[in-house]
Amino acid sequence: MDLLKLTISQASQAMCDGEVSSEELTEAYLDRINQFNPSLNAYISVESQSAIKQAKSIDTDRKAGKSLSALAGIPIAIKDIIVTKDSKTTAGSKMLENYQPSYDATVITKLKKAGAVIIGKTNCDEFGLGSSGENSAYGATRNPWDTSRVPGGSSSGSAAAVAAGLALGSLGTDTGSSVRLPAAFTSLVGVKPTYGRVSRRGLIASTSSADTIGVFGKTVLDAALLLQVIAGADSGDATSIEEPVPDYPGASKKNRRKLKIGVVKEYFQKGMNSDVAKTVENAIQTIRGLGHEVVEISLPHAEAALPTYYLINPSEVSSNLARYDGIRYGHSVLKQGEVNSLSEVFERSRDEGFGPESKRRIMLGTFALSRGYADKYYLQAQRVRTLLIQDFSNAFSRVDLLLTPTSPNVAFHINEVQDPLLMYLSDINLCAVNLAGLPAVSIPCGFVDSLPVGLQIIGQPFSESDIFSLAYQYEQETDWTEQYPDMTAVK
Amino acid sequence: MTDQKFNIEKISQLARLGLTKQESKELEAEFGDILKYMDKLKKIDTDSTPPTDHVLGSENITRSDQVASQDSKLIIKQNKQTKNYQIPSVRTLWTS
Repeated sequence: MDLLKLTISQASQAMCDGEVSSEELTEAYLDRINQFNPSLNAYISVESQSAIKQAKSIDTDRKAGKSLSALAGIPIAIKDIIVTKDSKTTAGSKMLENYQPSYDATVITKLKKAGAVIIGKTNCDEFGLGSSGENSAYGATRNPWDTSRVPGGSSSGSAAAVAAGLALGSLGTDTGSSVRLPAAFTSLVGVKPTYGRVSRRGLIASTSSADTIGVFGKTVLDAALLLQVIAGADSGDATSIEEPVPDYPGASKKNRRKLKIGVVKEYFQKGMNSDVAKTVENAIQTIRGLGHEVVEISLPHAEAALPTYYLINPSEVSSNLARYDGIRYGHSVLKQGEVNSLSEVFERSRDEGFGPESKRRIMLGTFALSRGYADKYYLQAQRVRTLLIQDFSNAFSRVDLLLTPTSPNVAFHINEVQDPLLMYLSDINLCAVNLAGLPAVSIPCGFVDSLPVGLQIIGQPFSESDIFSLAYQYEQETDWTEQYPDMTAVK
Repeated sequence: MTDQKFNIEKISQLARLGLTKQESKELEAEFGDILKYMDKLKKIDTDSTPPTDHVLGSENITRSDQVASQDSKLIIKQNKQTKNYQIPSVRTLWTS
């Protein structure tokens, strides 16, 4: 069994057929993590004991003839920003280096109930703040397609783990790009669901008006299986939305209606890698060839999305990260001995606990919300956000789905992008979707210089089924999801 | 929007974030460029556009608070010795 190529659907079938047990499968993944994690740094912590225990329990249930879900016995990795009871959850930050949550996030409870094996917690940019995976207090994650490059962030470890065959699927979070960009950079299917589709109880907050929990899979069907389990309203999250959860795997395969699809012209911008543009245009031709009507469409305020996002995000981040004050939990100078004042506890604990990007966003957000500037910056950004939402709404009065390149470029080298503003530009095709709360998927659509390229499909709120359907049709027509990194090159 | 200089010291105090001199210097240099980029938003006419409250227009499912009228003189009493005002605990008010 080649773990690099194995999908959730295949592994589930193999367990049903008695070819392999969940314990054997989990042990094989743990061995592989031991082998490759030192080079990739995809995991911050590996939950060997609890994973084996869960796998054995599923094997017992299977032997007893119990009815099991498609995720039963499947090793899944979790971004370390989602809380897991009694196992460390760091959010990629020194601030939460020793944080042991007292409860499981709702998505974890749902995965466990479905029988999934939580195999470990994955590396990420601190508090999800980053586009490369380099802003982690636990070191940068490396891209299995080229270990000198980033896998994209902030869900860097969740992407690298699945792409390298160190888990069968994973959960990430997407606030401005953080599932879709790493999916594109590592040739995976990455899903950012509609805002409110998936409960965020137990997700460490970054930008509350945009945060979503999403999934990574090797194939569209794997991603649909994962979303199926975690989707749905939750009384523990007042921002989750009561909306029936359709059969996503079923919709992926069955829904074959002809769609009207818009290609967003503003997303093929100047400065885009011309080979990436060609690759994405080829993908669009393939989709046209499937019998769908493809038209050009304009989102007039597209250029304003990035500055809008990078005002709203830091504003909310500065507020959400205010809870790390060195008093209640997290890193604290109080444990180090003498301090002279309460403000010293706050200021020093926060200076020592937060990394550079968190500090940058806290400062930017505090400024954008400060007296005399809040109207000019924060409120103006929220007004422009309304215009961006209207742009999408107008577009969806004409078409069913939108297509864009996920990223204008392929994965860049580690330490290549030093200027924070240039790093923010990585999210240029992605953050508008979060500002409007829409669902979107990045699917593999080719390679440039042996590095993966992603195609983004955007839909109306709660249209995940339509997105999966188109993604699945495209996947069946091409073989991009059957390409794998050369693991002999991962030292 | 960048007409006024970004006051790094004031903002770090507001954020309760102790920064080293080196960190302050670097952030100040970066913010010039970042805020210049944000100036793109200044040119967009939003006079008749309301700010977004919720991306999907969701509204609270809870009802509005209902105010029960109470005579404040009966609730708040001055302690004759200490001259402090005493108010009963919320729990007492709730069950009375």
